[in-house]
Amino acid sequence: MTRVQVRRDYADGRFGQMHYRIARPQHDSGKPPLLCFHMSPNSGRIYNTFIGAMGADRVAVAPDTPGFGDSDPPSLPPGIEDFAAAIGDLMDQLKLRQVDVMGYHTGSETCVALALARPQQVRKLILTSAPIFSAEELAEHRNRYAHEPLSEDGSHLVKKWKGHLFWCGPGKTREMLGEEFNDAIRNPMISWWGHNAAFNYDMAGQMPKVTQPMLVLNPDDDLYTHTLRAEGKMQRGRILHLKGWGHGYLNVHTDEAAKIVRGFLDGEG
Amino acid sequence: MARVTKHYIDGRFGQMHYRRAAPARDNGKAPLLMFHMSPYSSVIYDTIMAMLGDQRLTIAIDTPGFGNSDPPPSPPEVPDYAAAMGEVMDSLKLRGVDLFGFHTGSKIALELAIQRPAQVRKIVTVSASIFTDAELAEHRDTYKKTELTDDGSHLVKWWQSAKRWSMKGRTSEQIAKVFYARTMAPSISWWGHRAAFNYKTADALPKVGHPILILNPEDDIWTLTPRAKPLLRNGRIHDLPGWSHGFLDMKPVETATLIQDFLDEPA
Repeated sequence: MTRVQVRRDYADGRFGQMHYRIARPQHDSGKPPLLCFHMSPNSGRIYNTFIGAMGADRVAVAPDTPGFGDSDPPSLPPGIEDFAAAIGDLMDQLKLRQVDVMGYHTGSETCVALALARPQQVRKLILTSAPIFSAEELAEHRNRYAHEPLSEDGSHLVKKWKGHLFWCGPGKTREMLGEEFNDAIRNPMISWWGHNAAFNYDMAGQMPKVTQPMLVLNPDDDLYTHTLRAEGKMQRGRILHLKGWGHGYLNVHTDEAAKIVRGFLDGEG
Repeated sequence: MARVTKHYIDGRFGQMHYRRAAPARDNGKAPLLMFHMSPYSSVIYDTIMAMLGDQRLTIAIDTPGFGNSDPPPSPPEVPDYAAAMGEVMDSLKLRGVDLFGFHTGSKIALELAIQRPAQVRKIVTVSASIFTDAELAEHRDTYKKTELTDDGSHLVKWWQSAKRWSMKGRTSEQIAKVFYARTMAPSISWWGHRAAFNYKTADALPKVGHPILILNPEDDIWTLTPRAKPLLRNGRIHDLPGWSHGFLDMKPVETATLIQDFLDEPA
């Protein structure tokens, strides 16, 4: 499968500089660009390999959410709509009129918020997981992903590392994890803002308002059962179970994932 | 305080990433280029750049393979790093520059001055690591490639090493601000130390005729730096007892003043 070079750059947005990765095809294909939003508390790095594959026939962009990766943070804890607004700034800066959007966990919610904020500019959505929580789960998740104080002895790092290893999907190597772990320990005083925004967003209430076609990918990860609840909450959408795939699938199954995404984006409906 | 922004530019190994701060108006002072220690990134200069940038264009570059700068295809040497930095000077059209280096970055600064003597004005380094053969062997062993563990003990080792060599009073929060940078690209992040240990500062110093100020904090190599004294053609060593890693964040005003006074003093 063809892969193109991935480059990185900055654009200005409402919260300061926004950092993004971009892959471009050699020739303009006329296909809408694809914007990819990462999970918390990672960065666009998780899409590095994937957009290299998608970039063969369309512009593919993976920004770092404000406050994550190399994007400047907002001054206060933001909501998902703020993330979506900042992404809108990036679209304007890059002169992207109509786009397809793809999101991963927190990023899936940003897709929904962006589709509602800019309905004319968002054509199709692909979500990896739909975080729809019961009140009880939400309380438990808020607690689990609350601000973690830094330790003197480094045990806060061990706890985070073990958590990442636990949810490391099949085929994802320790080296892959090592490459992206730095994003999870950046800005430790505010790195809980991503989850905080995600847990404050009413995914179950907002998803049904989306009129654009939507494909929900549901790998065997920590949000598998929550994602099943998206059934019946989409005007034009369906769920595809990615059996045996977990976190890291974008790197482990890059070509298969690109094929699924292309099939949906370039197909009817 | 000048605003610090981040940018990319193309170089011989791919994209190079740098931080930039500049005064509102050009005052004619030479730009200052800053090179970081291994295996961190230009993030260590975030705080002090806001101060230095008030007075002169200040640019801190991620060494190739560190921070967000693309890596070379194979383990490089200090002259390769310096050549890449020289190309950044060309791309940014910087003719006469001052240099600041920290540990490995100090070696890059010396080598860049040797490669482009006419384009470098003054040099400030943090430490001058001049090793005996026995010390070198020990350091090579300490800073060899770290294998990633399932139990996270590699992280504990890095964190505790950062703690151990931090100056008194440096908080976990201050360490964490830069610590992530030393965990990036763990499969190749030992390349910086490798290059540093292959580069002989004792051979480089006598070739450098530029004014040099060597800051010598009480860190892991502070006993090595005095060995530079007889090798300096046009420089001096300024001991900083009680200072150690983290001083760029804990003593930014004092450090900026030391740098500015030296750069501004008549040649």
